[in-house]
Amino acid sequence: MSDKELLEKLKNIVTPYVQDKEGLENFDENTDFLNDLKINSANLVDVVLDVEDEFNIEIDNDSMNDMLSVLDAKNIIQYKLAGK
Amino acid sequence: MIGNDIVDFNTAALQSNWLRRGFCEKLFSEQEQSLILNSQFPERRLWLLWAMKEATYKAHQRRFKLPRSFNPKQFNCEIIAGDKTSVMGKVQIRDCDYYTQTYIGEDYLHCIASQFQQKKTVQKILSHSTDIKQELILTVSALKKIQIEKICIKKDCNFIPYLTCGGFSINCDFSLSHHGNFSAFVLSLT
Repeated sequence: MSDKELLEKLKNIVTPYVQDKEGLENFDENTDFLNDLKINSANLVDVVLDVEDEFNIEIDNDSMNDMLSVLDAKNIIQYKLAGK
Repeated sequence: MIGNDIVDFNTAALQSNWLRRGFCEKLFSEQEQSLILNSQFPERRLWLLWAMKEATYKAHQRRFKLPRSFNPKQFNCEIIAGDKTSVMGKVQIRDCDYYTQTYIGEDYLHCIASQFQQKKTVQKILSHSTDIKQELILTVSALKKIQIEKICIKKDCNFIPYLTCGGFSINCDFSLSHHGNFSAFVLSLT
Protein backbone atom coordinates (compact mmCIF):
# COMPACT_ATOMS: atom_id res chain seq x y z
CA MET A 1 0.00 0.00 0.00
CA SER A 2 1.35 3.41 -0.94
CA ASP A 3 1.81 6.15 1.65
CA LYS A 4 -0.81 8.19 -0.12
CA GLU A 5 -3.34 5.38 0.03
CA LEU A 6 -2.62 4.76 3.69
CA LEU A 7 -3.00 8.44 4.57
CA GLU A 8 -6.27 8.62 2.67
CA LYS A 9 -7.65 5.64 4.62
CA LEU A 10 -6.46 7.17 7.87
CA LYS A 11 -8.11 10.48 7.04
CA ASN A 12 -11.42 8.72 6.44
CA ILE A 13 -11.07 6.90 9.75
CA VAL A 14 -10.42 9.99 11.88
CA THR A 15 -12.88 12.34 10.16
CA PRO A 16 -15.98 11.41 12.25
CA TYR A 17 -14.07 12.17 15.47
CA VAL A 18 -12.51 15.48 14.40
CA GLN A 19 -13.72 18.47 16.45
CA ASP A 20 -11.76 21.05 14.46
CA LYS A 21 -12.62 20.45 10.81
CA GLU A 22 -10.10 23.08 9.68
CA GLY A 23 -7.37 20.73 10.83
CA LEU A 24 -8.50 18.28 8.15
CA GLU A 25 -7.71 20.71 5.34
CA ASN A 26 -3.99 20.35 5.92
CA PHE A 27 -4.10 16.67 6.78
CA ASP A 28 -0.63 15.17 6.40
CA GLU A 29 1.96 13.19 8.36
CA ASN A 30 2.53 16.08 10.73
CA THR A 31 -1.12 16.33 11.73
CA ASP A 32 -1.57 15.78 15.45
CA PHE A 33 -4.75 14.02 16.57
CA LEU A 34 -5.12 16.10 19.72
CA ASN A 35 -3.63 19.49 18.92
CA ASP A 36 -4.62 19.87 15.27
CA LEU A 37 -7.80 17.81 14.98
CA LYS A 38 -8.96 18.24 18.61
CA ILE A 39 -10.06 14.63 18.78
CA ASN A 40 -11.52 13.92 22.20
CA SER A 41 -9.23 11.60 24.16
CA ALA A 42 -12.04 9.06 24.67
CA ASN A 43 -12.35 8.86 20.86
CA LEU A 44 -8.68 7.91 20.44
CA VAL A 45 -9.76 4.39 21.30
CA ASP A 46 -12.31 4.52 18.44
CA VAL A 47 -9.53 5.55 16.06
CA VAL A 48 -7.48 2.57 17.25
CA LEU A 49 -10.45 0.17 16.86
CA ASP A 50 -11.28 1.52 13.39
CA VAL A 51 -7.64 1.17 12.32
CA GLU A 52 -7.68 -2.44 13.53
CA ASP A 53 -10.82 -3.16 11.48
CA GLU A 54 -9.74 -1.32 8.35
CA PHE A 55 -6.25 -2.81 8.13
CA ASN A 56 -7.06 -6.13 9.79
CA ILE A 57 -4.29 -5.76 12.35
CA GLU A 58 -4.11 -5.79 16.13
CA ILE A 59 -2.88 -2.69 17.94
CA ASP A 60 -1.48 -3.76 21.31
CA ASN A 61 -1.42 -1.44 24.33
CA ASP A 62 2.21 -0.41 23.78
CA SER A 63 1.47 0.69 20.22
CA MET A 64 -1.73 2.45 21.26
CA ASN A 65 0.33 4.36 23.81
CA ASP A 66 2.14 6.27 21.05
CA MET A 67 -0.64 6.71 18.50
CA LEU A 68 -1.13 10.45 18.85
CA SER A 69 -0.40 11.72 15.35
CA VAL A 70 -0.79 10.69 11.73
CA LEU A 71 2.90 9.84 11.54
CA ASP A 72 2.68 7.67 14.68
CA ALA A 73 -0.33 5.85 13.24
CA LYS A 74 1.31 5.39 9.85
CA ASN A 75 4.45 3.90 11.40
CA ILE A 76 2.45 1.52 13.58
CA ILE A 77 0.20 0.39 10.72
CA GLN A 78 3.17 -0.22 8.40
CA TYR A 79 5.04 -2.09 11.12
CA LYS A 80 2.03 -4.30 11.86
CA LEU A 81 1.30 -4.92 8.17
CA ALA A 82 4.93 -5.91 7.56
CA GLY A 83 4.69 -8.46 10.39
CA LYS A 84 1.60 -10.15 8.98
CA MET B 1 0.44 17.98 41.42
CA ILE B 2 -3.23 17.99 40.49
CA GLY B 3 -5.28 17.11 37.44
CA ASN B 4 -8.94 17.33 36.56
CA ASP B 5 -11.38 16.02 34.00
CA ILE B 6 -14.94 16.90 33.11
CA VAL B 7 -17.38 14.68 31.21
CA ASP B 8 -20.56 16.03 29.63
CA PHE B 9 -22.95 13.05 29.72
CA ASN B 10 -24.95 14.12 26.66
CA THR B 11 -21.84 14.74 24.58
CA ALA B 12 -20.30 11.46 25.74
CA ALA B 13 -23.42 9.57 24.68
CA LEU B 14 -23.22 11.18 21.24
CA GLN B 15 -19.45 10.82 20.78
CA SER B 16 -18.84 7.34 22.13
CA ASN B 17 -20.51 3.99 21.78
CA TRP B 18 -19.22 2.32 24.92
CA LEU B 19 -20.88 -0.97 24.00
CA ARG B 20 -18.78 -1.19 20.86
CA ARG B 21 -16.67 -4.33 20.70
CA GLY B 22 -13.21 -3.67 22.10
CA PHE B 23 -14.02 -0.26 23.58
CA CYS B 24 -14.06 -1.29 27.22
CA GLU B 25 -11.33 -3.90 26.76
CA LYS B 26 -8.88 -1.29 25.47
CA LEU B 27 -9.57 1.19 28.27
CA PHE B 28 -10.32 -0.82 31.37
CA SER B 29 -8.88 -3.76 33.32
CA GLU B 30 -11.07 -6.79 33.94
CA GLN B 31 -11.68 -5.58 37.48
CA GLU B 32 -12.76 -2.16 36.23
CA GLN B 33 -14.98 -3.74 33.59
CA SER B 34 -16.80 -5.67 36.27
CA LEU B 35 -17.22 -2.46 38.31
CA ILE B 36 -18.92 -1.01 35.22
CA LEU B 37 -21.08 -3.98 34.35
CA ASN B 38 -22.21 -4.57 37.93
CA SER B 39 -23.23 -0.97 38.41
CA GLN B 40 -26.84 0.14 38.43
CA PHE B 41 -25.83 2.87 35.97
CA PRO B 42 -23.06 1.31 33.88
CA GLU B 43 -22.57 4.24 31.52
CA ARG B 44 -22.12 6.74 34.36
CA ARG B 45 -19.78 4.33 36.12
CA LEU B 46 -17.73 4.01 32.94
CA TRP B 47 -17.32 7.79 32.63
CA LEU B 48 -16.48 8.01 36.32
CA LEU B 49 -13.60 5.55 35.87
CA TRP B 50 -12.53 7.24 32.65
CA ALA B 51 -12.44 10.68 34.33
CA MET B 52 -10.44 9.21 37.23
CA LYS B 53 -7.87 7.94 34.73
CA GLU B 54 -7.77 11.20 32.77
CA ALA B 55 -7.46 13.43 35.83
CA THR B 56 -4.72 11.20 37.23
CA TYR B 57 -2.93 11.12 33.88
CA LYS B 58 -2.76 14.92 33.96
CA ALA B 59 -1.47 15.03 37.55
CA HIS B 60 1.09 12.30 36.83
CA GLN B 61 2.25 13.84 33.56
CA ARG B 62 2.79 17.22 35.24
CA ARG B 63 4.54 15.67 38.22
CA PHE B 64 7.17 13.87 36.16
CA LYS B 65 7.11 16.20 33.11
CA LEU B 66 6.28 13.24 30.87
CA PRO B 67 5.65 13.35 27.14
CA ARG B 68 2.05 12.71 26.10
CA SER B 69 0.80 9.14 25.87
CA PHE B 70 -2.44 7.23 25.59
CA ASN B 71 -2.18 4.43 28.09
CA PRO B 72 -5.44 4.31 30.05
CA LYS B 73 -4.94 0.68 31.04
CA GLN B 74 -1.85 1.54 33.06
CA PHE B 75 -4.04 3.57 35.41
CA ASN B 76 -5.79 1.24 37.82
CA CYS B 77 -8.90 2.60 39.47
CA GLU B 78 -10.38 1.69 42.79
CA ILE B 79 -13.53 3.15 44.31
CA ILE B 80 -13.05 3.80 48.00
CA ALA B 81 -16.34 5.35 49.06
CA GLY B 82 -19.18 7.33 47.69
CA ASP B 83 -22.80 7.77 46.90
CA LYS B 84 -24.78 8.91 43.88
CA THR B 85 -23.27 12.39 43.72
CA SER B 86 -19.80 12.11 45.22
CA VAL B 87 -17.17 9.41 44.84
CA MET B 88 -13.76 9.06 46.46
CA GLY B 89 -11.30 6.93 44.58
CA LYS B 90 -7.70 5.87 44.28
CA VAL B 91 -5.74 5.43 41.07
CA GLN B 92 -2.45 3.62 40.81
CA ILE B 93 0.04 4.14 38.00
CA ARG B 94 3.29 2.20 38.28
CA ASP B 95 4.34 2.75 41.92
CA CYS B 96 2.45 6.02 42.40
CA ASP B 97 -0.91 6.45 44.09
CA TYR B 98 -3.30 9.31 43.45
CA TYR B 99 -6.51 10.21 45.21
CA THR B 100 -9.58 11.30 43.31
CA GLN B 101 -12.70 13.15 44.29
CA THR B 102 -15.54 13.18 41.79
CA TYR B 103 -18.73 15.16 41.82
CA ILE B 104 -21.53 13.58 39.78
CA GLY B 105 -24.31 15.89 38.67
CA GLU B 106 -27.32 15.47 36.41
CA ASP B 107 -25.54 16.49 33.22
CA TYR B 108 -21.87 16.08 33.93
CA LEU B 109 -19.25 14.71 36.26
CA HIS B 110 -16.08 16.41 37.41
CA CYS B 111 -13.08 14.60 38.82
CA ILE B 112 -10.02 16.02 40.60
CA ALA B 113 -6.93 13.88 41.15
CA SER B 114 -4.10 14.66 43.52
CA GLN B 115 -1.06 12.98 45.03
CA PHE B 116 -2.34 13.99 48.43
CA GLN B 117 -5.56 12.95 50.07
CA GLN B 118 -6.28 16.36 51.57
CA LYS B 119 -5.49 19.09 49.11
CA LYS B 120 -6.77 22.64 49.29
CA THR B 121 -8.01 23.64 45.89
CA VAL B 122 -10.24 26.14 44.22
CA GLN B 123 -12.27 24.93 41.28
CA LYS B 124 -14.76 26.31 38.84
CA ILE B 125 -17.15 24.61 36.46
CA LEU B 126 -18.65 26.69 33.71
CA SER B 127 -20.89 26.34 30.73
CA HIS B 128 -18.72 26.15 27.63
CA SER B 129 -19.64 29.57 26.28
CA THR B 130 -17.66 31.15 29.11
CA ASP B 131 -13.94 31.37 28.61
CA ILE B 132 -12.45 29.05 31.20
CA LYS B 133 -8.92 30.30 30.56
CA GLN B 134 -9.95 33.88 31.30
CA GLU B 135 -11.70 32.65 34.42
CA LEU B 136 -8.50 30.93 35.57
CA ILE B 137 -6.48 34.10 34.90
CA LEU B 138 -8.95 36.17 36.94
CA THR B 139 -8.71 33.74 39.85
CA VAL B 140 -4.91 33.64 39.79
CA SER B 141 -4.78 37.41 39.49
CA ALA B 142 -6.90 37.82 42.63
CA LEU B 143 -5.02 35.16 44.59
CA LYS B 144 -1.48 36.21 43.72
CA LYS B 145 -2.23 39.91 43.38
CA ILE B 146 -0.88 40.13 39.85
CA GLN B 147 -2.39 42.38 37.19
CA ILE B 148 -4.68 40.42 34.87
CA GLU B 149 -3.04 41.79 31.71
CA LYS B 150 0.34 40.42 32.78
CA ILE B 151 -0.84 36.81 33.06
CA CYS B 152 -0.62 34.45 30.07
CA ILE B 153 -1.30 30.75 29.65
CA LYS B 154 1.37 28.95 27.63
CA LYS B 155 2.18 25.33 26.83
CA ASP B 156 5.51 23.60 27.35
CA CYS B 157 7.19 21.05 25.06
CA ASN B 158 4.97 18.29 26.48
CA PHE B 159 1.86 20.38 25.83
CA ILE B 160 1.36 20.95 29.54
CA PRO B 161 -0.11 24.41 30.19
CA TYR B 162 1.64 26.83 32.55
CA LEU B 163 1.16 30.44 33.59
CA THR B 164 3.51 33.31 33.00
CA CYS B 165 3.68 36.83 34.39
CA GLY B 166 5.55 39.31 32.27
CA GLY B 167 7.39 36.49 30.53
CA PHE B 168 8.39 34.62 33.70
CA SER B 169 6.64 31.41 34.63
CA ILE B 170 4.49 31.49 37.77
CA ASN B 171 4.77 28.55 40.15
CA CYS B 172 1.16 27.46 40.04
CA ASP B 173 -0.37 23.98 40.11
CA PHE B 174 -3.53 23.88 38.01
CA SER B 175 -5.40 21.86 35.41
CA LEU B 176 -7.95 22.74 32.74
CA SER B 177 -10.60 20.52 31.17
CA HIS B 178 -13.48 20.91 28.76
CA HIS B 179 -15.99 18.60 27.18
CA GLY B 180 -19.24 19.34 25.39
CA ASN B 181 -21.09 22.14 27.16
CA PHE B 182 -18.86 22.23 30.22
CA SER B 183 -15.41 23.40 31.13
CA ALA B 184 -13.56 23.43 34.40
CA PHE B 185 -10.35 24.32 36.12
CA VAL B 186 -8.82 23.32 39.41
CA LEU B 187 -6.11 25.34 41.11
CA SER B 188 -4.04 24.23 44.08
CA LEU B 189 -3.94 26.60 47.04
CA THR B 190 -0.97 24.98 48.77
